[in-house]
Amino acid sequence: MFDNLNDPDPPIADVATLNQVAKRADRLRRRRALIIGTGAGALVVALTIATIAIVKSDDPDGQLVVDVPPTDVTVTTLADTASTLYSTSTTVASVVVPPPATTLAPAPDTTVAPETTVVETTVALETTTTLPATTTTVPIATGPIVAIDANGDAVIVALDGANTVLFDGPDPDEPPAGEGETSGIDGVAITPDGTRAYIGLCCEPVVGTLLQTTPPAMANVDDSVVYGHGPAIAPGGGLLARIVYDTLTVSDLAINDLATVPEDFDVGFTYDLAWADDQHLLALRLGPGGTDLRVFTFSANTLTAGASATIFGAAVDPVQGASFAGRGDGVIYILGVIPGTLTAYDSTTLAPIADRNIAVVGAVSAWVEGGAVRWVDSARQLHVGDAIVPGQYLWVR
Amino acid sequence: MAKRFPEVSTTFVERFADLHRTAYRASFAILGRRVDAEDCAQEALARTMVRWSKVQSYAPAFTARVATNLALDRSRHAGKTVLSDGATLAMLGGHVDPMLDRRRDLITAIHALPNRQREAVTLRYFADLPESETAAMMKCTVGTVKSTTSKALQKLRLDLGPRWAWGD
Repeated sequence: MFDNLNDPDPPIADVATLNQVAKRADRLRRRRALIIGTGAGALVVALTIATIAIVKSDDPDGQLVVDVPPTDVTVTTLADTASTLYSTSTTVASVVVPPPATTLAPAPDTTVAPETTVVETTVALETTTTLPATTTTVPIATGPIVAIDANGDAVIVALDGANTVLFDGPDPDEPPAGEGETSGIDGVAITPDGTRAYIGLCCEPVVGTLLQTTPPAMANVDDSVVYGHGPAIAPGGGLLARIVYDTLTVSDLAINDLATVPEDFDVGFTYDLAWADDQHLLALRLGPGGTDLRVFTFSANTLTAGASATIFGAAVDPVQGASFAGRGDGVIYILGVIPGTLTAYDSTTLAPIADRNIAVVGAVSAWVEGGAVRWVDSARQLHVGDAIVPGQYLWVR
Repeated sequence: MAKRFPEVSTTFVERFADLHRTAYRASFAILGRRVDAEDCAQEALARTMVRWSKVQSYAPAFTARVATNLALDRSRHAGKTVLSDGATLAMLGGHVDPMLDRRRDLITAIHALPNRQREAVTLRYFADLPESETAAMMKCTVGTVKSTTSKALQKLRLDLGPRWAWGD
């Protein structure tokens, strides 16, 4: 009935085709592992903290003493903020010292019949130390904050929770409606003045879809569709970077492409982009050799590859999923390299700068801008400075 | 190959050519362009490969469904540029689609169908699946496939009119 729609000379599948399909399948598996890893990583961190916190005593009564970790999150900001320790109403729970093990002395080596002496030792089972609570104001970066909420929607965050929805995305907790459906928002970018926003849908059609809007208007998936995902806007507000299948592309805000760099899927695929400044674009790439951090210099409408550094080796399961977490003066931050830490790298040489790391315990997504940190914790709470924004969130930038 | 991708199942490899034929046929019927159809077919096969342990018992239907959905998705997003510009087709695909206008009308009409009717007609006629496999994929009886397909064709004939080449 529809035979006249068929290709009269269809291609024959060969080994090369199978090879291509296998590569794509490999990439799908890695990407899926990475997406799942965002949640799993948070769970692992939470479980690790919980495990460390539980101290089983040798109390003969079998009493289990649990050292409850602080419920609030402690943020330590180093060099960027003059080595200041920030705490958000930190109440330190009881510190429990477990009883020391009682050890019997070995019998002396002597021909004389040994005389056994049992020494009874009594120790206090619990020593409790309560540290005073401290409250310090955490700086809040100026400029708009964008997030993906627990409904899968892209939003501009308002501290009172009256957010502006930029795109009504699919609920990530619900199974996808079917194959070929849009799989979800993988990134949101907004200009510093808040006048333009871009939403990346990864990755249907195959190359992903980039939506654009002028807030507070919502983006329409059928309007002005552009291929690509993972949008990132340079601090100056004039350049947009995105991933378009096998290229990294920099364009102006009207999405007139200015420069592209081809990717080789044999080496890996880029899944996250961030600008350190208006000249340096950073990319995280997952491949058979592990996870790489790369830097590109943008100048005269040309992207030039610079340094490259391995974040995780191939032996590390990709579900650890590193992601960009903001920028400081000459550094780029990455979440997921060290648990509970935003790891600082020089944005040009990519050398780790340990004394500029930022501790954000329990963060599953974070962003540093202007010396201030905002982050989503494993309970899906969004922290902006001292405030916890009403609602639940998955990702922030 | 097997060394490089050790997770490739031998049963998948054995059925690869047939599955590719199904995926390509479904994609090409919708897109009408070899480059795009090949791309959709490969993506559909990759997704089939990833889920092979679960879907191998109904692999042709699964692959066909993924391919048609991908192709319909792509035609919706890229329709303005891909389906309406013969010069672009010739330049990018090295192939001018003689059915360009009719295919464009058909895709518009297909998009206007209710979901179940669209699924039935694409699986039956674009992917060339037998009624039994279509029924398994749609989780319904063969009778329902027949009635749903019949209604879909009726609506397509109404929408497209007598000028559309039905080939029957």
